[in-house]
Amino acid sequence: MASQVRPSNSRIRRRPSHEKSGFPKAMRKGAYVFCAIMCIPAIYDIIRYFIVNSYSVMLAFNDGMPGTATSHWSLNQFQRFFTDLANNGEITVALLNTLRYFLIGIIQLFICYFVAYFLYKKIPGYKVYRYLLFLPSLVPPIISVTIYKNLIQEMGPFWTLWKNMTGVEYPNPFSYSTSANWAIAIYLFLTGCGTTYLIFIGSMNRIPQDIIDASKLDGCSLWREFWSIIVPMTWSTFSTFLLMDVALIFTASGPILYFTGDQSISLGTQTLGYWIFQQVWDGYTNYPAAIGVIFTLCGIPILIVTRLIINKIDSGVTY
Amino acid sequence: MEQNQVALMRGHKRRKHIAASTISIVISVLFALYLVIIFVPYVYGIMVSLESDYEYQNTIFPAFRSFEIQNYARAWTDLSARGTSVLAMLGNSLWYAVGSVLINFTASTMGAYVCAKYRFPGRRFIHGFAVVAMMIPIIGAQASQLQFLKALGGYDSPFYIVVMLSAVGGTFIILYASFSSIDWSYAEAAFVDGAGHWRVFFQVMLPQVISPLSALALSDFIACWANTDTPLIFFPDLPTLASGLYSYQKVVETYNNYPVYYAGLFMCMLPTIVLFTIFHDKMMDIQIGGGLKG
Repeated sequence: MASQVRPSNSRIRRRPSHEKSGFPKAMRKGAYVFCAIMCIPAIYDIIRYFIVNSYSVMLAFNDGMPGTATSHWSLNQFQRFFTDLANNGEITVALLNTLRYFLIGIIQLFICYFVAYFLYKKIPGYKVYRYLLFLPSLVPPIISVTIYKNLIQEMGPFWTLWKNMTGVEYPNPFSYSTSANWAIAIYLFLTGCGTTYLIFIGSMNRIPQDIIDASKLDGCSLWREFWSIIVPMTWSTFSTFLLMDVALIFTASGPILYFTGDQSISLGTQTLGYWIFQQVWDGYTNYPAAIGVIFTLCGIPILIVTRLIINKIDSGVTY
Repeated sequence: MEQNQVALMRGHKRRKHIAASTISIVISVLFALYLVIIFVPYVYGIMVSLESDYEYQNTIFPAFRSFEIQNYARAWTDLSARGTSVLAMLGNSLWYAVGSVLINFTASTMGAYVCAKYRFPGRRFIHGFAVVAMMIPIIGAQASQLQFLKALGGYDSPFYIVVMLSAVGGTFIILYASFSSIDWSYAEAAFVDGAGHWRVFFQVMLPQVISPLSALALSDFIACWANTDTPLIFFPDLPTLASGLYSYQKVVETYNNYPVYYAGLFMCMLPTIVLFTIFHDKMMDIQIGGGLKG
């Protein structure tokens, strides 16, 4: 019984009996206690996950609070969703905005990869760029959004510059749906790569230098080096990030709260994530839970297909 | 003939080298331009934070005419949200960000270590669960989380960080990979020398993952420090600096006292800058081997 508790990477070879498990025989029983104690938080987290999400599903199929006098099981929330979808309601707008920000996230991922490659290639000033590109990630979005909004608003510095240069007076971007969505999209596009490019650089730095040197001797160009060496050898890291982005497809959201706040829904800037947050904040529970269930289920096949595609183009390079 | 070929090859290589260095310079200039676009707004923000209210309302482009450093002192006294002072908001930000990072990372490290290094019933389930939960995020569970918190007394209380601890998330996966890559012979040697499981964990294994652990912890701290949604929903009467400054935005829009507000915003940024300055080496050298596939 006690022999089941042993290090998972112990090798299969004949060793003295007391060493079979990696630690002395007297300690094997202690290992069970140790594992049990160490796993308490993980077990709690798993139990909470099941309770919270089961309750979320129950809320989705109920018009009131499950387990209380207001409880009434029905499919009304789902019916409401499809009606909303058919009438181009709040959810349709939220879905379109979410997909737009998801797309921006994917484009950013590719840009980060190129940024990481050039920093890995030690372009002039790479040490400074490596630090400075990360700094925007340290700034809480409330700060950057407030400054950005003030800069581009009507009568703001950028507005004045634009007027002086072109003679055109543009209206306040956050007064209209289209311009507000564009302003948010541009902000998201500009606000850096976070820590992603650092992880990509770390992954590229792990490539053995001999391979790069050999390719140089063979007259390999930068482009060829990128596609034939860097991409296959860092595909595992890149594809993991791509898969994680796809997994979060329906949660993609910008800092909508800071940009348009409680006017988001009337302005049409809401994303699914923001819409759910706003509903819960306003005290609604059943409809946001139903929307959550629907989009969680929609995300699973998308994730599976993406994973299959990624695995199919996996170069299988290990080093 | 051979000499001609060698000369041709050299010429070809030189042209490639020139092309590569030209691309490098062009990319470097593009990076510089991008950084100018990114940093000019922050410079503008700092300049506004040092203006007087009169100057802000009467000029479009800020200039260091009056150097109102006292705006930063005023931010401590003037800004408040839901009757909470900046000092109290700072306290709330600290317990939320530091507490969450400490609890979540302790919980994740404990689970990741035993799942990676010990064989016991259920370890595969825990690891599998972590991968599935990360890849298939449940959307819209905030409503039920709120009910769960209220039931356990974590609503509007610092107890939130305990009730909502995350032990089997992304951190678990990364630490699991890090612990798996460490050779068990270190532990075996320690066991032979008389060390117990706890001592091996704390003194032999944990120091070996301290680099990814601190980089992840810093990243998590920054995210918690900047988070507004969670405090607004789950502890609205305990505003953090981020959520409090968001709530105060409406007052600023009414009274147009942006310089003091900007000073408050920049003060909110200081802890993350200080932590980054301390841990920048670890942050800049994140290396996560392998992937989640398999």
